[in-house]
Amino acid sequence: MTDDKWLELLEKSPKKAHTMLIEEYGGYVYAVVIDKLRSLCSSEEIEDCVSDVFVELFTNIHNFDSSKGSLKGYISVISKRAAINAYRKLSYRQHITMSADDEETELPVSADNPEEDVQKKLFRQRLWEIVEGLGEPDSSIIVYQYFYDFKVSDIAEKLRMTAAAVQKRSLRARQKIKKILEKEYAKENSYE
Amino acid sequence: MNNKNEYDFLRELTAADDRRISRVARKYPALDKSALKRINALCEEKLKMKENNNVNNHAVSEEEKVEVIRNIPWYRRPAFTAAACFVVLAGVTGGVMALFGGKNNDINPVESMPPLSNVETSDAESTSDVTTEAATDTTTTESSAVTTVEATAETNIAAETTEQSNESIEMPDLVGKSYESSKDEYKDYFQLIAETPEYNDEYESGTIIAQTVNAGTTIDKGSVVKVKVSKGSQPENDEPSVNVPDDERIDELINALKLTEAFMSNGVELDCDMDDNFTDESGQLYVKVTESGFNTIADVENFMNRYFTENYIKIINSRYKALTDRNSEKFIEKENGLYIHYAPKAGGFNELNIQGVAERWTDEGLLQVDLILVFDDFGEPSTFALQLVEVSEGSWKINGMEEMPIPEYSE
Repeated sequence: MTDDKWLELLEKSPKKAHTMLIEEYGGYVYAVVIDKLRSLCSSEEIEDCVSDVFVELFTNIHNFDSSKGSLKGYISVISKRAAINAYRKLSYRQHITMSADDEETELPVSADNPEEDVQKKLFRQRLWEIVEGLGEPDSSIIVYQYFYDFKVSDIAEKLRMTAAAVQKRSLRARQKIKKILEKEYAKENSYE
Repeated sequence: MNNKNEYDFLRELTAADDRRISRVARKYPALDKSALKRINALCEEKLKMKENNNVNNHAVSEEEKVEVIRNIPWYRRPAFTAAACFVVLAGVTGGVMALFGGKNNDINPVESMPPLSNVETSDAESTSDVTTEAATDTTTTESSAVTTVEATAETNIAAETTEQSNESIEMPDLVGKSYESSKDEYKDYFQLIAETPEYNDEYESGTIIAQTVNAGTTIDKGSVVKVKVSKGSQPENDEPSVNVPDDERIDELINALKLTEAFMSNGVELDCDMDDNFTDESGQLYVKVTESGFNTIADVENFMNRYFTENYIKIINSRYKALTDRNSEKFIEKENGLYIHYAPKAGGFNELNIQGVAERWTDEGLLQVDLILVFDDFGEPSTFALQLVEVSEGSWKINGMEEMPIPEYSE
């Protein structure tokens, strides 16, 4: 659906539009929010933050100007802001001091060692390629375990597998990733 | 020995840019339908609360209108008061005339009304609340009476709304009550939201077992109160809904088991300096332990206590010939370090593979995770369940071992 259609639906039938927008962008908002709040709060608290994002979106939709950017971009901005606010509140509660870098939503690029940053970026890119190349359900297991920080039991429930099977496949997948990376690293070094 | 952080590089997956996040969200959605439904419901509730707040704010602005009247210059107030009184009197007159209309035409409407001073006193409050609009609209008796009633009613609604927004209530004790009926019963006072239901032996399914706001606490009307709801007793065959130990801890425990096994097969698995040795009176050879962190018998004891429960240490002491017994002949502590009884042995746990994890509750109510491990038993695969227990939150120890047939997994 185009952004203008969304706006039209929000005007005509707000309740229906709310449900549909949550279905469409809920996962995206969750991924943005967890990127900031990972390991700091429970899944319920993350869901609460996601709902805050949508409440802000619905109440401030009149501020959205489709000529200036996409609805997804607008949602992304609201999500990051909400996540940072939640992070501040939670870290204050948990006496965690925020570093200046935490304010950044993107990975901060160090001016001192740009080469290292590029290498890290390339490594992450390759890592994602390997993970996505594992095939299912292994790719999902690794993403849910490491990106979303899900518990083994939650992954098992999500993928309709037993916890034991998840644990087993996870271990095998990790071993496989490690092996691939080690092989590539050895190959690179042999060229040097 | 495996490095316990050997898969830490996977944490790099968390440092994702916007494009990656978007792709991950699409390809590996984190929220299932029930979670989306929950979020939707939460949104609806929050929007409703926002709406209520807006209504309350609107009520405040009505108050502000009254404030405007109060701020009218003193010399104009009597005129307004008189006009308002006249409106009230006219209304009463209209009512009386309607009541007695035709029956007694001789009644003087002015004489039949209570004295003006009384009206002023009794209606003092409502007079001050009458809007400017009502006060000026006094041309005809009947129409002004209607306007007055409407204006007063409007003011009353505004006042009522303001009253509601400031209203505080005392939180009742909901523990032990049905969630559904409580939600319905108190819907006009506060919004009840249930968190993820939990197993509870004491309360039957659907009963509130805890509330975030303590009974007796004063809360604002319309507040959100979260409660925990029981989903009844845990079925016997149900899997515990708690996490298994994390991979790091599992790796640590397996490595501890391997090292303990290596104590038996020293000279094969354990790092020792074979050239630094001595023979005791019985002719038994002892070699110096060079494995990092093992310089005294106390180091061995600490190691055991860190990874094994008391119960399992007892088993170890019988299985491994009293590793932690200072009087045993397994270790001899010397000034320059620790020496171990040299007894080379093949096989063992040097190749341990995790085949799966099973969870169950022990009779003592502790969560026990059975780590299904397979090892090469002189060419034949042998399977056993390594029993891990959570001795305190997040802290797992080996509690025992049980040989078992090779299990089948459903995937």
